[in-house]
Amino acid sequence: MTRIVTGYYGSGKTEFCVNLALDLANDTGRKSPVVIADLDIINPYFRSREAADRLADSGVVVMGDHLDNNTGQDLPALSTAFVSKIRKGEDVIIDLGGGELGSRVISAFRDAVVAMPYDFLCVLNPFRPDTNNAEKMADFVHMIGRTTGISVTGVVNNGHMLHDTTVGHILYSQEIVGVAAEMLKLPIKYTLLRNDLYGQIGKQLISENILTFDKLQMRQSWQ
Amino acid sequence: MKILMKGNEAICDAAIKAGCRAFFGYPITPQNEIPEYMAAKLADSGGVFVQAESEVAAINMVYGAAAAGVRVMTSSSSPGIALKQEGVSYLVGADLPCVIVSVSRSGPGLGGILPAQSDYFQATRGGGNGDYYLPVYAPFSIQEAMNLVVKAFDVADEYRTPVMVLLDGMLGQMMEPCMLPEIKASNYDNSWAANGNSGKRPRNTITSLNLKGEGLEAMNIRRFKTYDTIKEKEIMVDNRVQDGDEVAIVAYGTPARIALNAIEMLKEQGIKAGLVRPVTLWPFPYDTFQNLTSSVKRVVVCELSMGQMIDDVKIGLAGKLPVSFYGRTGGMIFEPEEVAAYVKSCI
Repeated sequence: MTRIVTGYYGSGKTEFCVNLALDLANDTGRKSPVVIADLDIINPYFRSREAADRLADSGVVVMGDHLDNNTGQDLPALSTAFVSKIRKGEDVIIDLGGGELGSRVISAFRDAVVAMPYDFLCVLNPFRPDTNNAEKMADFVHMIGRTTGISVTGVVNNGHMLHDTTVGHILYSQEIVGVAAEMLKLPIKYTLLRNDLYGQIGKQLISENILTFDKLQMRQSWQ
Repeated sequence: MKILMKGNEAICDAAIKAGCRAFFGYPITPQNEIPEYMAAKLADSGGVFVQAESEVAAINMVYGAAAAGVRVMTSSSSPGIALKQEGVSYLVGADLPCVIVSVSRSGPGLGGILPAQSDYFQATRGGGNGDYYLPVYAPFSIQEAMNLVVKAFDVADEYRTPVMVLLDGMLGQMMEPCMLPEIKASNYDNSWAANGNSGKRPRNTITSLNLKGEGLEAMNIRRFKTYDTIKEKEIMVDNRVQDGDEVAIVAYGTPARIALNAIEMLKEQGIKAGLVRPVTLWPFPYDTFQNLTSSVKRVVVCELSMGQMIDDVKIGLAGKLPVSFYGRTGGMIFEPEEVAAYVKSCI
């Protein structure tokens, strides 16, 4: 199945994609590796291709550019190798760049994507100023639909303050993302949070799926 | 409430809050979010954004706005800052205040887009002609970047000088929870500005041209007296070395964050080290190194360069203690484990 992941700049799309990929790769009965298609042409740093070597050890293949996943360049030299994986019905996670500009890239692959089962997930974080209330979140999701020509099928509650995230942040985020989801008539498909926080508030979470992690994948302790 | 901001965006919000009303820039990674954000937000505050046709054009537009007494900023990255140096020298020569944000990448030449600190000399020694210095602020967190941008505007106006805020690319690109700083009302004199006299005062002239030797020398001497005042009042340093520490690690920007982690690791191995973090790179906190606590037996300088700030550390120490250097370049970033292992190998 294809999962396209979009969101505002800094909403935590890549962190979500990497955690989702690791979760899917955990299934020992898999016939093909999980693929992350890194289509981020917006950010020069913190792209999923940076984690490619680590992820390979966990059975996740990152397809970034066709220049050996070089992290030292910001050319829009995307690899299209993931398209054949989509056509075969394999698990492909498409990690788009931030915002309207970043999401536009998917239009080039629209026909291939919509011909197979897919989810179009929008990652939401109310602690980013441009998506700090339900109205702005809903406007953002509508705008992504208009820009890409594909309707978003679910939202992700990723309320976070990086290393400083508390249970308070996640519950506050759940409230706002919940209102936005209701306005959009979309489900909260995933919630992403640290394990210790999940231990404290797991039962209060309203979400079809919950992904947890011990350490942020895309940030070092000093970042 | 705190919000999550990327370094490059946070700088813009701080600048606008500090009264920046003009921005002129030209794209270059990894600082592109600055002109992009200014293009989107500055007009809402009654400001002017222009994407210039080049870095040289941008810095000369800064000259124009500064001459009119407007709070003005530009930003660029390493090779782009190199292109601006001529304009910076002219701004200094005309005693014009402005803020220049430098988000450095790896070099020399076109180099690469990954973070580096190989523009320490470029920032503190300059590449423009003539006798001059710029106050240079080097934050190590997004919150501090916001605070120092506000400070930079005040210092620029108070001393009528361009001021640089220097970040490595990592600080420009990374995100952190932060808050917009409170702004104190700043009371600076800009009666010198060429903003239309309506016949009510004598004509103001802004120029760096001075064809009489005596006159130009007097200008230079006056400017260096201002530098003496800046050295006296504006030096900032975050000295965390404590009595009992045997090593002082000197780092600024991102490496200072990494050094703090390395210091924790060393502590677990029974080695006591402390961080000295220069916040102003010019004027450099030389005295801090003369006055290090007597338990310190060695100084280790860590930079994302082949070694540039180390020259200032050596001037500060004046041979008092042995100095070692650990650096990475080309966009490679050392990990805390690497720094800890190097420090251990020195003692």
